[in-house]
Amino acid sequence: MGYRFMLNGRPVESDAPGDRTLLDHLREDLGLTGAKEGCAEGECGACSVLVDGEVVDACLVFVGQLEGTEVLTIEGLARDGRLDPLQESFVREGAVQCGACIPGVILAAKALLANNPAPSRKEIREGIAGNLCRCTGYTKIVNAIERAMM
Amino acid sequence: MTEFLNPRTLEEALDALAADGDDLRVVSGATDVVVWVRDGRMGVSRYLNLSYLGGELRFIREEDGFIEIGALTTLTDLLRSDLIRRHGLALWEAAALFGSVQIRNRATVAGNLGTASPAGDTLPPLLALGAQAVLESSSGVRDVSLEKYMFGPGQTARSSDELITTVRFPVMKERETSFYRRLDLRDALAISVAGVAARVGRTPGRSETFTSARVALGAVAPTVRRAPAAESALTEGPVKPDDLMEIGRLAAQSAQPIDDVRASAEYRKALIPGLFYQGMYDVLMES
Repeated sequence: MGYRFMLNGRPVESDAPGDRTLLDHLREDLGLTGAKEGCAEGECGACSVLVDGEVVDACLVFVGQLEGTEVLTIEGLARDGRLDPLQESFVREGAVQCGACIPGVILAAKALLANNPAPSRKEIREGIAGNLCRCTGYTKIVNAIERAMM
Repeated sequence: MTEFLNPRTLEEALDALAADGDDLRVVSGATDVVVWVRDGRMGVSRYLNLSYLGGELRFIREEDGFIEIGALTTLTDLLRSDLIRRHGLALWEAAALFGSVQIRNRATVAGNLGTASPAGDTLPPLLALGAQAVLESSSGVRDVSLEKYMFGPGQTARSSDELITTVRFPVMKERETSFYRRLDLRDALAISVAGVAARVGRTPGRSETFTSARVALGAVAPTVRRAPAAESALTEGPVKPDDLMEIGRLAAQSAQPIDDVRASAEYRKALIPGLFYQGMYDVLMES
């Protein structure tokens, strides 16, 4: 019997080995390539996804640990063809350069705003401290998260 | 193929360890284990995954004069806990600077004890707070003080049939407080270069004298360790801010650091008085 969990609002039953990482499972088995592999050791946050609403590095989670959970990846964030307000504000603010880190940053921001709907700029920076961006210098990213709060 | 065991009760987990403890790699947050397996430092053929024991092992509670932290409690859980903030401020401060949000959401207190790295950030606070690890097996339970729990990097008193089920430390009495200060090379996802934690009890009505003191050093020896010379100096007489650097130098006597990529041994040792000063100065000022 496989591991059953919700993925982007739909039930899945995975027959992956328990010790396959969620990141490999998403990208290689399920064709969901929004979560990126940067460092594969929890340092860069490019593979960030939400598990039960909390942001985690998908490279550090085993599929065998997901039974009964709800997983949200960047592919599941838009609803009925409409971008999430965070996605919208990243576009408007021009907060994306190469874009490799952005799916992870947006999901980290999503979890941050769910736990703290009106964070200060310092709190925003702490909330995305697990996500490395080598292009933007973070200023526009923080601006975009602030804009999404409005 | 690797075997992945998913016990549904603590009893099942302990039975599995009693039968095959030597072969089983216990995982919960897995933030260390995944990395070690991936880079080849560790080979695992069988995992014992604790993820589904949250009902039994994920709690923070006050019980019989102790704060008890269940093995599956995450660093995020600590950060959100008023009990930890009130009774284990040093541990709360460690949780606040631990890894990143992503890591704090997975990593557990018991996992940090299991890894027993000299640089583990919950360890100096837990040692200063007077913590014990509760080690449980299918044949019994024992409490091991942190002084006796860690022998060296990754070497602990846990035997292969045992599980760390709870970490506990005595509640803060009135006029007691604690702190943790560390130096790191960046603001997030940093490994401690050196750290100092302490739990001190002030004499009622006299903020500059201390009735009790436990001082613990991190990342400056093969294990986290106490600094007895500084503890004695704190309780021997009145302590003024001007005395703190000297007492911090006594604390540094207990440091036996190594050179590595983050810092030289000499630099690590030199950090201790300053970190001690920072924490204790705040204690003196707040009283």
